[in-house]
Amino acid sequence: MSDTPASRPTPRRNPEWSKTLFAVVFILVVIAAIVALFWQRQIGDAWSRMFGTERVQTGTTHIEQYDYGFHPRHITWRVGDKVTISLHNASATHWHEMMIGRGFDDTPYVVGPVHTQFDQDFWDGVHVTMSHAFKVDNFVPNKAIVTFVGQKPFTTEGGNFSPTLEPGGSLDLTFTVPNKPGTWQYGCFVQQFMHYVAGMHGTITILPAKT
Amino acid sequence: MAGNEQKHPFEAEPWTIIRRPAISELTPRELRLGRFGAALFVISQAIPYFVLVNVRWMLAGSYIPAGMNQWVGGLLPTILLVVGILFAWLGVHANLEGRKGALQGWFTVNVLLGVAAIVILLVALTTYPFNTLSHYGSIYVTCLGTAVFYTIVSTIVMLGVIFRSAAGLVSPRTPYGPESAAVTWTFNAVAWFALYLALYVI
Amino acid sequence: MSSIFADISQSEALRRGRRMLPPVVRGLFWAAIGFFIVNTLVSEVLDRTPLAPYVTKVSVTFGWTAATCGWLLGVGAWELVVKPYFGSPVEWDVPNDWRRYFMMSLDHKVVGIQYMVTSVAGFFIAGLAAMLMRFELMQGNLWTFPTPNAYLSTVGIHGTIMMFSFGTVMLVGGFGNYLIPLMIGSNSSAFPRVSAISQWLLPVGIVTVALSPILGTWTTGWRGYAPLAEQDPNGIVFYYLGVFAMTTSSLLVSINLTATILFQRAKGLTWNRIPMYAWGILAASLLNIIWLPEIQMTFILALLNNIVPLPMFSQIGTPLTYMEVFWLFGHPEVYIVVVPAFALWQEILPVMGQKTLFARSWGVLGLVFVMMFSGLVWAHHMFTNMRNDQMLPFSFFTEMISIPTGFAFLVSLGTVWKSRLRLTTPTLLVFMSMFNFLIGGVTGVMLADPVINLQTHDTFFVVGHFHYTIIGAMVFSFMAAAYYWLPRFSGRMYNEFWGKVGAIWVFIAFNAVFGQFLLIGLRGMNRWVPVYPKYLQNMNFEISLFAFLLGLGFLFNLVYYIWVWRYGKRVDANPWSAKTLEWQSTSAPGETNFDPPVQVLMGFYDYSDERPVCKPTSPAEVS
Repeated sequence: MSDTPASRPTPRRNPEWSKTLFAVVFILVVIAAIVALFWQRQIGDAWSRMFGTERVQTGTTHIEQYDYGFHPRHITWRVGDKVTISLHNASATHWHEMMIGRGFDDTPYVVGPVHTQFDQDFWDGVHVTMSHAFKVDNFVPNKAIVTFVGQKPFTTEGGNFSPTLEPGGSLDLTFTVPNKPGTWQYGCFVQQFMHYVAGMHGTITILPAKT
Repeated sequence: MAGNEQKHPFEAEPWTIIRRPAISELTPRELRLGRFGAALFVISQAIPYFVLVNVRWMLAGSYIPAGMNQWVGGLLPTILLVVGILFAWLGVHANLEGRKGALQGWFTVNVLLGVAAIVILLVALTTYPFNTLSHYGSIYVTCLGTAVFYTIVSTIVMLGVIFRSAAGLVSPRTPYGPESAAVTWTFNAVAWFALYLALYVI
Repeated sequence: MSSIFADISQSEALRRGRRMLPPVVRGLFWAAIGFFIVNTLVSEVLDRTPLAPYVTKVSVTFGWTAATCGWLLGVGAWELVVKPYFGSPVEWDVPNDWRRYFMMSLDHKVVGIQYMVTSVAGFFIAGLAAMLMRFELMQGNLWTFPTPNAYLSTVGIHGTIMMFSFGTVMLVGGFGNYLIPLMIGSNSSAFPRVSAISQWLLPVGIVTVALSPILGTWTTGWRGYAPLAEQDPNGIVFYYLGVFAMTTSSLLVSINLTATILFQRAKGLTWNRIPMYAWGILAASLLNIIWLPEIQMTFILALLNNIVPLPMFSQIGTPLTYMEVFWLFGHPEVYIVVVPAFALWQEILPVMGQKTLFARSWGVLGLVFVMMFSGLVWAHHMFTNMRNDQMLPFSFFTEMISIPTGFAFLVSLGTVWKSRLRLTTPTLLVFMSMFNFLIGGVTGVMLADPVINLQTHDTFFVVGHFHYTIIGAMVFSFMAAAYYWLPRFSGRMYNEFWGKVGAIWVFIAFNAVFGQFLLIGLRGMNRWVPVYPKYLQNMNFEISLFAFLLGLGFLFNLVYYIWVWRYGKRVDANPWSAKTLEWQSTSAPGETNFDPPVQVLMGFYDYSDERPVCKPTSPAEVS
């Protein structure tokens, strides 16, 4: 419509933009998008494996649970250090747990095995102090030796060591890193392994004790 | 695509629309076209309000929680927006009579009304007396959020007309800008009035 | 009128000054800046939760919005829309070479080609997703995808991109933008800036949906059912946002084309002379204008349900509310897709038979009634969620809608009857489209029957049915139109032999795949599953082989089409001897369509009348 300003009669810049710049940026962005789409997690994991091991965490490790993932996804501890996991469920709607272990404990199912929990429980025989429990739906100690400070959550039996937090729940687990060096997994198996499938898992690297 | 490239590779694209001596007068046909486009846009944007009112009924029936503040989030923004309809059209008429100052004046008043309505709606969005984890609560905050969004849009459109008028782009012969701004404002006021009725009265 | 551009024709004037940044590059750059600023603002300041990741689903929503604005401004909206709005002179010169396709343009033909290319790109991205799905289904266990969620995300990406960037867009935004102003004798669409913006929203939508798994998988498919959507990881947020961009694109195009058809018609192009394709676009546009805002609001509610959360559809909310409002849109969507396709049949057949369009007014009535009935049938998607007595009216209206659909068939067949039909590739593809849609329609009437519907619900029978209607009718008609208008677009003619090879290849592969979908559905193959019982293995394997053949067929047509566009045999302006106005102008993108404007003297479908269809108006008559 003609209530718009006229165009500048002599343009102040050359509209023939560079083909090379366009092509290079376009191709780079497409490659970056494809790489991010298919290998985002692998690249993140590889990055942490390469550069994360130097950053040994002592003291308190904050772990946030959200739909569906852990933040951070990689933790490095050293055997013999006294550490605290400060676990917080940041989801507004979902219950989440945190198991640590290796391998999978499978239940056979018509479409193939369903991983119900880890095969080997990291917490077996570990002395743990649980404190600041808030909105903990249930807690399965399994074979860990647990001391409760403050309010004791509802404890139950069955399966690996796992605290299950309600939305907004949190707790602290203080323990001395046991002599189980190597790579461990942590994950949430709630809703028949679907949280794990959706990406709610991470890795712990435990370095051998300093000699 | 293929044929003409060899002839004038560097010639710029001819735009019949904006390569025209600008700020001339709008032909009656152009004005009708603009009005029709604005009307189609308003019709399309009225549909989300139907959805909101419907969802409000499907979720919460005619339930209204006790202790609602009738003024904040209810009557006050309604009054501000509805009064603004009058001012908006007064501005449009001022423009048609060539009184540029009056156009800018009425529209400035409307911008202030719009800002006041946005602030009051935002206050209401933070002080409601119920939990959003409820049927009524969730649709209530959604409706208020929608109202805030559209009020921001119609206020910005008003503001734009003031700028355009100052830049000399609005005249009695190019009345489309103020008119479409007034249409947008009226639409927002009426649509919010419907939401107000659905949320507070019925 | 040509004197208007005299001032910018000098190439040396344009070359002055430093080179501008390529608009697409600038758009990407501004999008990145917008995302970075707003995402940081939301996740680190306004909605700060200590220890949370940098990108949360709340921050990504706002960051995405900012990125989209940055992208639109960067590709040209800053110079073309924002600055002139506040009174600055327009400074946006589009070089008349291939560069114009990679920047915002106001020429409806350029916008049309941009739309077609983007839309076809979406088609092949979604097609690649379909190939991955068929790859997975070659075996009964999970072997291509790492998790079931990855498979389901692929299904969702396939459906969403096909629906919202191809089905809804190709015939409206693509052919519509290019051809409608030409067909009604106009030099421009009514609101060229609107179409320019809407075109650049489409790639945003496609990319957002295609990259949604970066945020996390989503398992709902293109329907986004609650409460499943609320259980999904954050990828679902990109589904809502991407669909929002694509539906906004279609909505703006529809407003523009409706206004164009009603206001920009040439002199003498009265209501009863409006071309059939314009009628089809008008009907589809009205559906778009009503139903797209509806689904946008629904998706905003679902997004709030997910990110705030405001539990309207899940937890304490009602999932059925979501289903109602989704299918209220979802069924008219089907007609948004096929109504322009019906119009294409009626556009192509009279030309190829050189015979007057049979019962034209009934054809128009059919399109309009399909449009009106489409809002009355939505609940047939929800028979499993209803009482028996509620099903009856929806079953009734669904079966009724086949009557105005039948008009489209009868008008087409009546036109072919006793005509000297040229069996060209477009004709062949229109017949294939009619054949396929007949199967789609008959299975549709079967599915409208609650007894069959409840039996076959969520099986591949339904998948087969809707692929017959959408691919069968829309994609085949699209291909017919693409070959039919190829000489108009490029000035070159395809080779009948290779055109027919392409058509027959796709037709055979298509029927082999989706005909077997119907059968395997009856044998018990479920939708939405990457794994299935052993007894379905052989048939699935063989379907997959035909599916790959179908994918290759589309690829063959694409390659051949591009080849003809570049190197095909040159041909005269109106090779089909068609009467519609787009053939009376030879304007390429960047050129004026009708200079001077034309006056229409008669309807476009009367081939018994030998007189010219239009004449140029004298300058005195130009208003």
